[in-house]
Amino acid sequence: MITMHSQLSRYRLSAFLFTSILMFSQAQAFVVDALSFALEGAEKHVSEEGGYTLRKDFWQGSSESGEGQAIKHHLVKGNSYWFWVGTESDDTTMAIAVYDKKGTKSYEGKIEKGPNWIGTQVEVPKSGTYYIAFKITTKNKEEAHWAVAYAFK
Amino acid sequence: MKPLHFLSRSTLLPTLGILLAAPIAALADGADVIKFSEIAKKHDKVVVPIPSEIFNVLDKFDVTRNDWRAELKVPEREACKDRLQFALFLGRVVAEGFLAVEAQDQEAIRKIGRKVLSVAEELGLRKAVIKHTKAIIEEAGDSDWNAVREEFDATRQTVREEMEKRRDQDLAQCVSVGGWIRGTEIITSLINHNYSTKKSEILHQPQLLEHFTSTFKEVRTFQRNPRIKKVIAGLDKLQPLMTADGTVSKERVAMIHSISQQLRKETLTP
Repeated sequence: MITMHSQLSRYRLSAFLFTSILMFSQAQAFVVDALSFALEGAEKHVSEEGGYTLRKDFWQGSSESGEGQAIKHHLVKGNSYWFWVGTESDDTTMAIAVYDKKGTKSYEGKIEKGPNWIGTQVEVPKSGTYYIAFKITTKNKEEAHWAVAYAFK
Repeated sequence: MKPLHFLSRSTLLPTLGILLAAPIAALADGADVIKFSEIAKKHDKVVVPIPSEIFNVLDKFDVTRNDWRAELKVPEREACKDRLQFALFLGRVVAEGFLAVEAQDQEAIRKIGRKVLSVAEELGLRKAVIKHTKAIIEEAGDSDWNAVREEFDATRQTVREEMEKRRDQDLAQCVSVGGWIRGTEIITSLINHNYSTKKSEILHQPQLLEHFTSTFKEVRTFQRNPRIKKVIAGLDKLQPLMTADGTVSKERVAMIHSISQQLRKETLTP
């Protein structure tokens, strides 16, 4: 299941994560972990130097190992976007791509990876709906909790 | 602690083999690639861009502060009849706030900040929104336009979250569409003044229109509300103009403007 949530400003993120871990159930704590990993990928891009603006919403869910997931997103031509997927699962292989609505072509640009996250930059040729597709393959074949965040400039 | 060279040659080679095999196996089975056909789950609802995403693109066009100022219409009255009307109106007022930021009009931002608060109060959201409106007014005083814009985004987000918490998702949709209608009216007016295909491309919003239209048609209470009926009728008119492939021509921009302007007058004004 995929759900959307909001988060506090990135400046207050640490406090938000700490409080969340204390208050939330284990499943929710997984999400907080997944989000913190996604934001680890975001960090340098949403800095003053990077210049990207982080949207204060995130999308979260869980998936079977190797199961493809996608978030349908209206992207605006003229913006440069970065999308990051984070997971609390260790020892994973992650994949990310950006497809148009027909799935005929992928538009992802630069891809960056960390131990628990993957990110891609995208600039679309025309405004419209695109699929932010990703897949997390875990070593032990267990399900993975994930969170997706994005920024634009 | 053992030094790194504790492994003998006989154990090193198999260890290296295992270490290398794992990523190679992952690559071989395509774990680092996702094909479109592999997508098992797609999120049904399209993620709608936040206003800042749109204004970020508009910032790159040659629109002057005076152009934005000419579009600004700070709403004076706020006597709405019901919560749906207040929600539509709130969306419009927040959109006006983004416009006032582009126009860098401190006085208009202050007025809009106060207006947001009074409309939010009618919807039982004063407590949630007051921190944002205070920040909007303060940051406008400091001419920190980016911060004001972020705060309007945060206001919109807080309103939506609070409404969803109270299971008022339908009202949250009204706020979104109210902002979208006014935003469309503003953007089309600016594009009309100095048309280019590059600018009009931003109006190509097929699934966004579909999202709004289907959402509004699904809600039973909406079908009985005359104001919302007008919104649905307007969205139906806009759909072919904003969903067709190819360039959004100057004529189409003018038509979109006329429909959204009419919609604003009929549905977003108390």
